[in-house]
Amino acid sequence: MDSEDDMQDAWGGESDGEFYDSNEEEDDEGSSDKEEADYGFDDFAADDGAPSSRMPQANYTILSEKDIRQRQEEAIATITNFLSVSKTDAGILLRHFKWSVSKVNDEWFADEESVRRSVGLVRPTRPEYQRRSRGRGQEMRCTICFETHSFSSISRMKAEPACGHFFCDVCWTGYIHTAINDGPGCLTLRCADPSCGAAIGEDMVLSLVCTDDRTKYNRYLLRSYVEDNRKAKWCPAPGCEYAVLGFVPGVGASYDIVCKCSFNFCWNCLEEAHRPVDCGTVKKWIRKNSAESENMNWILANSKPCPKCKRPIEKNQGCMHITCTPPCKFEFCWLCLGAWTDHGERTGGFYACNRYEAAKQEGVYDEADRRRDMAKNSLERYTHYYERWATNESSRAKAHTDLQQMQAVQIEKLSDKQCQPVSQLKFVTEAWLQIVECRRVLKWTYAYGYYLPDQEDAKKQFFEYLQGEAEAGLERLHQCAEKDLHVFLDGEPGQATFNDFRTKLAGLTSVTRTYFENLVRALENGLTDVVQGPLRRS
Amino acid sequence: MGGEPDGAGATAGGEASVGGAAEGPKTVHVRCSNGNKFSLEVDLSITVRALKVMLAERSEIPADQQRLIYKGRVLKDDNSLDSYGLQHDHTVHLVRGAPASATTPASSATTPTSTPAPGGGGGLPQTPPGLSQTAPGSNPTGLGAFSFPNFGAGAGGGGGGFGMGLQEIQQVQQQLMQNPNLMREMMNMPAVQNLMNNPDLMRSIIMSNPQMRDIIDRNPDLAHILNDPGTLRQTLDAARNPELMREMMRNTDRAMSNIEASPEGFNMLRRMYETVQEPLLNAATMGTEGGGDLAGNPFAALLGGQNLAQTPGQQIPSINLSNSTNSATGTPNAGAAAAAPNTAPLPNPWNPTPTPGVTGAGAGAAPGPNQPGATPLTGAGLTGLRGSAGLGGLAGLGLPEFGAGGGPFGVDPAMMQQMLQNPAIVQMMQGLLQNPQYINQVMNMQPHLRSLLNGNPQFREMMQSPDFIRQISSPESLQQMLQVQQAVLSQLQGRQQAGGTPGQPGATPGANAGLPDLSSLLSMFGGLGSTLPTNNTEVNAIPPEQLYEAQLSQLQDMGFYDTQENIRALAATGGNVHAAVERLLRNPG
Amino acid sequence: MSESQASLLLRKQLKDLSRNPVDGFSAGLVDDSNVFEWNVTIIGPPDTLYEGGYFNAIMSFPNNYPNSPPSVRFTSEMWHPNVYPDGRVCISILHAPGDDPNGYELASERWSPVHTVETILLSIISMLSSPNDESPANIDAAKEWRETKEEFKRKVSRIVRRSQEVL
Repeated sequence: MDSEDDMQDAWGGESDGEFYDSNEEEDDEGSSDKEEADYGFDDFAADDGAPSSRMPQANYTILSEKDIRQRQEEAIATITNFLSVSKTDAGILLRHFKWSVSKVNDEWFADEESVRRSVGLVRPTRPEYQRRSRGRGQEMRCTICFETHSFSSISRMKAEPACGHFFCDVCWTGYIHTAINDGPGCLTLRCADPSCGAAIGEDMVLSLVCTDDRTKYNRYLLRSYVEDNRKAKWCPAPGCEYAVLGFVPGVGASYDIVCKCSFNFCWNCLEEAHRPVDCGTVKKWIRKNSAESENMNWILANSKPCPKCKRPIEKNQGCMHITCTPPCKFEFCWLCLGAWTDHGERTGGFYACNRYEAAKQEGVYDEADRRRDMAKNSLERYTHYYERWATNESSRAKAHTDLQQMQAVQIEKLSDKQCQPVSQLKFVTEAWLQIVECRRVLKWTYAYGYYLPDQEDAKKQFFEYLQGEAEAGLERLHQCAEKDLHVFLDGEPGQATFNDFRTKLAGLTSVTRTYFENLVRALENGLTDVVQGPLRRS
Repeated sequence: MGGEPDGAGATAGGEASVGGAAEGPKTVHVRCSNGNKFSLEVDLSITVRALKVMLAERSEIPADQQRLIYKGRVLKDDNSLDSYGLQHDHTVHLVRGAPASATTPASSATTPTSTPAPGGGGGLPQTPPGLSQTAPGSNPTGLGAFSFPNFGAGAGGGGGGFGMGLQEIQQVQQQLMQNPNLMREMMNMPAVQNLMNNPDLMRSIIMSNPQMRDIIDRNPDLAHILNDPGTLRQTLDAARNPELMREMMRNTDRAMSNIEASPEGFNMLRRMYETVQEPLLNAATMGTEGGGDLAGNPFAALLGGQNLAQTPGQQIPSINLSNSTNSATGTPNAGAAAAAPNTAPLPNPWNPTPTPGVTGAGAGAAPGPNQPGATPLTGAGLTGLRGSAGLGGLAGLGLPEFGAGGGPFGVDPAMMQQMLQNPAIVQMMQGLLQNPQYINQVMNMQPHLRSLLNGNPQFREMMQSPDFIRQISSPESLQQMLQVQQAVLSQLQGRQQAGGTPGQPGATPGANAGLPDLSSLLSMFGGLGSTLPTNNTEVNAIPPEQLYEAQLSQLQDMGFYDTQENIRALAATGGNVHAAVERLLRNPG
Repeated sequence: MSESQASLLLRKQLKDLSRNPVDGFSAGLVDDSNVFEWNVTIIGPPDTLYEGGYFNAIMSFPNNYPNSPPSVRFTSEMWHPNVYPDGRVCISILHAPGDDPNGYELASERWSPVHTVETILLSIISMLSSPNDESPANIDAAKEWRETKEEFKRKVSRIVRRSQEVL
């Protein structure tokens, strides 16, 4: 029921636009929702009408702090009405039952007493009497500080625990203050008397403590909605305040979530989105990285010498096609330091450099003697994959930056230069987005490849073939987007060239997208398409 | 702050200041570990020790066993009360502490306090708390000293052939004393060590003697000590090392004098003496009645000896007899020397005593006055103990037991049986016996045996052959021998008591005891099928009338009136009446 | 404010204990100028393995007592599954509830401001008599207690003896 509520909310669309239609290119990646508000493209709003076709993939809601609070209030109000308990008590109950309204209802009506006992809600019967029957001027002794207080001073306390154990406010304040400082345990704070488990509600807490503590406490209250709730999770992106609620894996069984902060992550493991590999592989890979990264970093930190002029080269762009600075101007592939013109059949296809075996046979690695010397067999293999993984990661990051820069600055510039309306230039942005996404996928395919068992040669070959195709497309796209665009930004080519460019870029974008879709689909199927048999290019 | 029902002590400050300022005695509350609470008026400048003394009466815990705790600190005797910040109306905790000894077990409740008589060396390991500063190890050492010779002798006795009488044992002991090497050697034998380390064994040995059992029952502390292998070991260590022993002795003496000096001490001594000595005396008397039992009951021997000696010096050993067990009441026995503090010089531990049995070794047994006129057993006992009850007696007991059937007449046959069945003992004996050198030595120490061996090389050979020894040491044969001895002994005793000793000149009962054993041993050899000739000559040397008295009477009843014939027949059949009858019938006339 | 409250409370407890001591322990200050450091002597409770022993411990109270628990550390030699080899005592009531909200359901198992020196020491004493080997602080002692109890008893007797000798 709860999820339905959420879903309806999701469907109904919150006023502040919690989720938007996904971009077309994102669709096949599985993450269906992504916000594009900053882009200011009106077209996107128009696309809202077609979310239903993509909803079944996954559905979830992104919540801001305000939303969280709102939901909390709603839940509490519901419970208060149903169970006729105070707001504080309702809050306690909900937190105990993980913010599931339905569960609270069920348990409460099943056995109220046991719920009360386990939660610590005491019926405030006798203390009321006591309080009334005791006149003013009577004295009570606080068993914490052993001071006596006149009753009148205690009754001035703004709230008392229902269990009737009286401690002076000083002691209470101290007690609560310490508990708040200790962490979210303060939400389940119980009466200071060791034998009594009465819960301390927020009304009492808020009335007694100082402002700082109050803020902290409120923060804990808020966070509890997400932390206690099994259906909600914080977005793992650093600095992101959003929570994701109500994720139900869709048909595609993909767990990728896109947050408002445009951070893709996997619901399961809260890592970066890693389709097509599964969470387990990702974990292993990450662990391996951290262990071996020292080596890798050493290797990779050393910038590579230009194959021709031996000057140290540092890669400053995402594409693998490196052109050495003048006067050398030697073009080579970053990964294998081989001449770019040589990249073709030998290395697995033009623009691709992903064939491990081939490269080895080619003796390309002879040039990387020091790497081979340093590495043992497994390390070599690992090196290969890790290097590509890391490189793609950095490429992606760079692409992302480029994207943002593009969005911020260059579009305008380009628009001015080419006298095109900005809306016409969205293909550029689309291309960049595609690049970013493809880099991500490619990166993870390397991780996948590393864990591919060696014995299954056919699968391996197929995998590498697909990967090669995809990589080739991506490189082309990336290059085109980077290099060619600069031409237009800086130079003064004519309109026709620009249109060509646009066609080319858009074409590349879609082709690459197709390749990657194939790749992802195949990998997700576990390469079951492949039948172990004699080697054959499919 | 008035009106507080709980008196939260807010006024404490006021009181404290008042209390502190006031002169004169303050009220101090004492809370015991058993829950008792009482109050005292004291001046806060007194020392802790003085307070303990005052408390000793109220709390029934002797001052030396008291531990006062205030504010989480234990109060030391030498400081004053106010140095610890004790104030008026405050409470100190009183608990019972162990008598300050490094070796006492932790049972605070049961350990007696300030018992004097650090068990004079050999006595139980517990040393009196107050005195023990000087003699931490003295007890066990002393104990060891004594028990050891006994053990040694016993072992020697055991090893040397079971026919040794008490006399031999004593001689063995002498030898041992005089030859520390031998002792050490023996000590180092694993068999012996095994035995020592076996608390069960020791305990069973001790318990087998009803008197000891009695004493132990009355003094549970004894049991503790006896059960502690560590004690034994210490004892034995001391025995091994005469230096140690001497030192221990000295400490004990000093301790004793200290005790006597302190006001309560002497009373305590007295009490203890009575508690322990009495039973010991009883044991002793029983022992003397048993005649041959003396060996088995060194207590008896000792006390018998003690009773003869009346010097204060004697008193000490006797008092030392008692373990530092509880302080019972009573006045010291033998009024003599009781009241007067001991002014006699402490006995010289190393005095050789004139009497044959009495060795001064380590025993520091009473000097000369030790009337050995008493049986040599006294010596044995004394040697065993310098008034160390417990293990000394134990040792003495053990000793004869070791003799494994040798010697200990009057030792319960049942116990002997039991012992024999104890694999540890058997093992030990076997170990002993297998060491030919050892056997030789032991045997050489026995004048009888020596002469025997000298006269009969075959016999010696026999004794030395391991097979033979093994045979002998087998439990069955041991038992047989034991039985034989019993028979002989009873015979002898009967004879003695009846006074019908047919004028065996110079044959002390011990000697007699020895010889019959030998003869029985030899006859056993015959029984074992040894091809070695039995020494009929030896047999004949033994007055056959005595030997076969019972059988003779039987034969005479049957109608064989010829004593000589009977004797001959009996001798030939080894005392078997029926066979003798056959023989007689076969050979008429 | 809280510090003076803490010291006031501690002084009060000290006075109370001097006046009306409780069986089983004796408590005082390490130094009269610092009321936050207490020196206590715990008497081995009767009928336990620790009977007859006298164990010293130091209790260090935090400034925000009673909201935070003190730390107790044995200075005499101690062999017990719930006492670390360096002497620190590890029992549940000395842990603030914030540490492990899932650990214990009952608040009575955790620190509460109601606890006093007396209740703490009584808990320690009861810990001596019944070790809790579920969460051992001294693994060796816990293993020994569980597997070779005789050896454990012997060790305990030894430390008891040694504690008495110091007296």
